[in-house]
Amino acid sequence: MRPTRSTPAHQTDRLAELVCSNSLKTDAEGAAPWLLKEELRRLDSLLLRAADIARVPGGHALTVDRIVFAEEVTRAIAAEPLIELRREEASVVAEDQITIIASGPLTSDALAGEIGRLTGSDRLFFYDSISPIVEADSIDQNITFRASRYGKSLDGTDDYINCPFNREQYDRFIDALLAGDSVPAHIEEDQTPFLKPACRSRSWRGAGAIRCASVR
Amino acid sequence: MKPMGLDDPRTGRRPYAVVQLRQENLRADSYNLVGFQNHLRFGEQARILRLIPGLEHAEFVRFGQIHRNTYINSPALLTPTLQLRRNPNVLFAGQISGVEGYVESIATGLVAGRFAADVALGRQLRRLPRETAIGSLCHYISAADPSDYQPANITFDLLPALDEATRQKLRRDKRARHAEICRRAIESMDQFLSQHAYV
Repeated sequence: MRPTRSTPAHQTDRLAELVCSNSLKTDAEGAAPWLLKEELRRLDSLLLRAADIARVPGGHALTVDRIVFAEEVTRAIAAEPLIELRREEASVVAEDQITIIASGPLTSDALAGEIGRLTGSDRLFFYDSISPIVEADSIDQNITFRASRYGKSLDGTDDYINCPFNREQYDRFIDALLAGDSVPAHIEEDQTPFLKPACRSRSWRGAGAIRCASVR
Repeated sequence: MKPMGLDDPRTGRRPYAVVQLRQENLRADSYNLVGFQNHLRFGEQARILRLIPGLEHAEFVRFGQIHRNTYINSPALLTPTLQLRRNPNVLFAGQISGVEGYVESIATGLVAGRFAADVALGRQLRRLPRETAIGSLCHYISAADPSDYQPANITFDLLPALDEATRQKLRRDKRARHAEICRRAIESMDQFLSQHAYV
């Protein structure tokens, strides 16, 4: 699509332009992101080779020079005789042809519409909303208790671990949450308070307003 | 954080407020903080969420994130070979396929390319073993709970749990458990590569 049509975040016409962080996460042996990279190296991944060439010092992380990385990938694709690179916006998917859709987080409206048609439009999401996950054995089970609301379980077990607050703990927690420092947005659109309707409908309920405040 | 219907069995009384943790389908040994999708810096999340009673010493598998993204509800739509169930000619890869992160995107792109080649050549699709990180990622995005799907980064809880004897033996040593999961993944990948002309 680029440079014919750009996106709110990309700046060049190069393939594989990294628009957020320039880190491919830790490369320290024994970590999950390392395992994923190690498997890709065993599969001779072109992008991992490009990342290794573009590597800059970054401690344990595989950190790359964005320009070198994108140039390496662009050069490799251009040099491949079996690939024809077409710079145009794709907005129709021919269903009788084999197609890989890998249009990324800033998929154009036209292609999003087409994907909606292919999949059923209610199945396309435009914002990530990811909750934190903790390791089971780091939860203090002397404080928490297992229960489902009103003892109603979906599968006969106590579905939830519950962390009980007294009033003082709750007030301290909410104050900390409200004062917490948010991640700055990568693109202009993310500065807008777009999540208000979505977060009101989720399960935080009573503290919904607080969550909206924390997402800015 | 409403406490309705959640009496604390120790006190017999309803707490002032509660945070609920839920074990997610297909994730081993980890719990999701229900409704805590948030945008705070990761360091801030660690500090603030440890104020939750019972999470004072919590170790985080992942932190919350909220940002602009485009992705499909992959568990409702995709096969483990990243094909659209209703049209196997159409494959998805990268963030739109329900993974999060550069390397996860690279990984799904690589296997989607191989799957597409298999489809073109009319041969059996070659899936990476479930014991590998890539195999687990493909399994997760096609088999997780589709009712509230959240895109996945690679984390150890996506890989199959170790057998009970090994877990018991290594129960005090998380590094050793992770090392064992890595060893098993790489062994399984090497075995797969020796059996298939994949690279």
